Amino acid sequence: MTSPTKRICTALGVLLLAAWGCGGAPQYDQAIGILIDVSGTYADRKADTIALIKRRVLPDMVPGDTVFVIRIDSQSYDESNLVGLMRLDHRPSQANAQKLALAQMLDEFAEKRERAQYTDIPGAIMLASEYLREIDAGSSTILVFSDMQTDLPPGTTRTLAAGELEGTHVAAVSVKRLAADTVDPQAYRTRLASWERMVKRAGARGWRAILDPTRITPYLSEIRS
Amino acid sequence: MESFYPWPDSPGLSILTLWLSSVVFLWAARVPMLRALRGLAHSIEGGIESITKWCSGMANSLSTRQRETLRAASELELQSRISREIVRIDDSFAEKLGRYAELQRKVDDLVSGLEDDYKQCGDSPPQVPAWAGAVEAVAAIPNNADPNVRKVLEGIKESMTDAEKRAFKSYKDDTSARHKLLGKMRPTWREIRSLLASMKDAVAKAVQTSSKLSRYVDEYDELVNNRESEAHARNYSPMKPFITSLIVMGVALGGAFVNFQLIALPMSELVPAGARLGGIPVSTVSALVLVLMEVAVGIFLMDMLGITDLFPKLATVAPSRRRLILWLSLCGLLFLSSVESSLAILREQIVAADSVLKQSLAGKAGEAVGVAAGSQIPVIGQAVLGFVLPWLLALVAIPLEMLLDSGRHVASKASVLALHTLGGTTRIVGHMVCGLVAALPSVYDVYIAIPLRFERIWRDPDQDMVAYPKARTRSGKQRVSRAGAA
Repeated sequence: MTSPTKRICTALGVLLLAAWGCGGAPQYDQAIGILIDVSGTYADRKADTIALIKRRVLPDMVPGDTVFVIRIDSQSYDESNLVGLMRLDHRPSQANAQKLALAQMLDEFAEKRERAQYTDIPGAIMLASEYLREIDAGSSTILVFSDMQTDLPPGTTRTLAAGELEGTHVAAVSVKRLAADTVDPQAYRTRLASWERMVKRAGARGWRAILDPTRITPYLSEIRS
Repeated sequence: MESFYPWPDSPGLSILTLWLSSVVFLWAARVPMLRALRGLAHSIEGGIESITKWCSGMANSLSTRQRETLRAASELELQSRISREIVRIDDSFAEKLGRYAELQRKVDDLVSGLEDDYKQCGDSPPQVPAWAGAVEAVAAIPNNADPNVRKVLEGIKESMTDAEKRAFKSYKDDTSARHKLLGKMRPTWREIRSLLASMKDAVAKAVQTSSKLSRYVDEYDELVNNRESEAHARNYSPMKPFITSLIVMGVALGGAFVNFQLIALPMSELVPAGARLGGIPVSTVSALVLVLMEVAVGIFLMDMLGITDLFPKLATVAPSRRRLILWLSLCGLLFLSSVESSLAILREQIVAADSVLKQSLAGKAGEAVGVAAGSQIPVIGQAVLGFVLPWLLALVAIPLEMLLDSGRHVASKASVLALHTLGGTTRIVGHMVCGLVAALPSVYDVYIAIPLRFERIWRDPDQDMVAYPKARTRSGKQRVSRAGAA
């Protein structure tokens, strides 16, 4: 190979590498926002929910992933509702230590006795979407542990704007059936359908109602890939 | 279909009208249509003929080239065998016949020693004194009563007896010394026999190796003198080394996979675990690169040791530089195997930590992790495996070279086979297509049989109405057959 050809090939190689490095290299990290309802009857499930998160969400998170927990109460769109946020270190040993620390934090949260009078789910979702936008991970997911029955305090307004959940997957996990739902199952189904419409209108990439908690791990893996 | 009907409401009438108009049109356009069909037939025939010819030509050319390369490979193999034999002979001569002169000298020394001893062993009976006859004559004088005579005679007798005794004693002493010398000669003879036996052995081996070399040289001469002969090319089969190397490469691939699995997890501690390269985690890519580096270093090592010749340019490098590269490769391999060994230990720790974390998150922090986790055997096993596997992987250069060498011949053979198959298939398809195309004018005439019949009635019945021009060239079948034969 002649010298100019060599130089051209080298330059092209460098350019290609630079383009690949600067441009569309896909991201594989994941940001998970966990919203936990502490109002009404769902407050009794707090400890179970925390155990579920520790067993099904934390172990399969990989270095580089981000997780945060938001409490759903009467006024969820509040910074103080953020229970904890953690970005896992790129070293697995450090990431493991962080997971343990987060688990401890969640245990402390589970031990707190609290019961909100109202249920502000949209507010929590709006707060989570802001955090997710800031994290800007390869895939963003909101897991909502609630009965999905919004009950806003008087005078509070919540509207999910179009594009609010752009590129975010939303899943309602272990949705508790209310007393009225057992009387009229259609009410439960209608509630979930209306949520689906609402999040999709806000630009969500997907909506899923997960009944079996063991499906959380495959769901998160599916979103990541 | 209904859209083509002139009267959609009357499909029967429409179909009849369409058929009639098509028959009339095709009857009117019979001659140009038949010419077009003939042109089509010729084109198809030509195309198939070209493909068949090309396949045959390529197959023949490839086959010739393959024979040439096989012959070259056979020559090369024979040359390497001869050179190996020459090296062995050289070593043998240097070792065995180099000692020949020493042995010869030793034997000469021993033989001259033996000669001296033999001379000393000569039987020399004591000489009878010269006066013995006179004494005997005097002694034979009759014993007189004269006491003086008797005294003289007795004196003579005594001196004779003394002389005899002395002589006998001297003879006995000589004989004893001779026996001693002969006794000493026995081990020398044995030594000489053993030396002669080893000389015989050395010479026999040299003769044997020489005859082997002579056979190789004869074979090589025959090969060089008779280059057109295919016997040698046939003798050299690339399939055996190809299959052997393929199997060994498969085993080596398995080893590389085990090696990769051993270091993939701990590599995530060294490189950013979350980052990915083309969808694959960087830690996985790094582990793969490490394994491939071991293989690459192994290739250099084998080349520098003269076992393989994958980089011909390195063969021309000065010996000092070759030694330098050899040492660098050895140090590199040692470094990589040490890194792998430590990574294997780290892997065990990560696995144990993960297990503890999962149990802790599941709410079983207090429970025992298990006996296996506390045992040191897996750690030691993994560390040893991590150290040994890179050295074993380094040997992959040998089957790799064999695979590349023999793969060329096998690929060439497969290509020839594929071309022959393609040529044969094309010939069969060509026959079928030509038959079909040849039948098309008849089918055409069948379709317009009614107007043709009327035309024949109106015209002179003796005139041949078949306007299908006869082919001036040979039929497609013949052409394809000839192309196939070529």
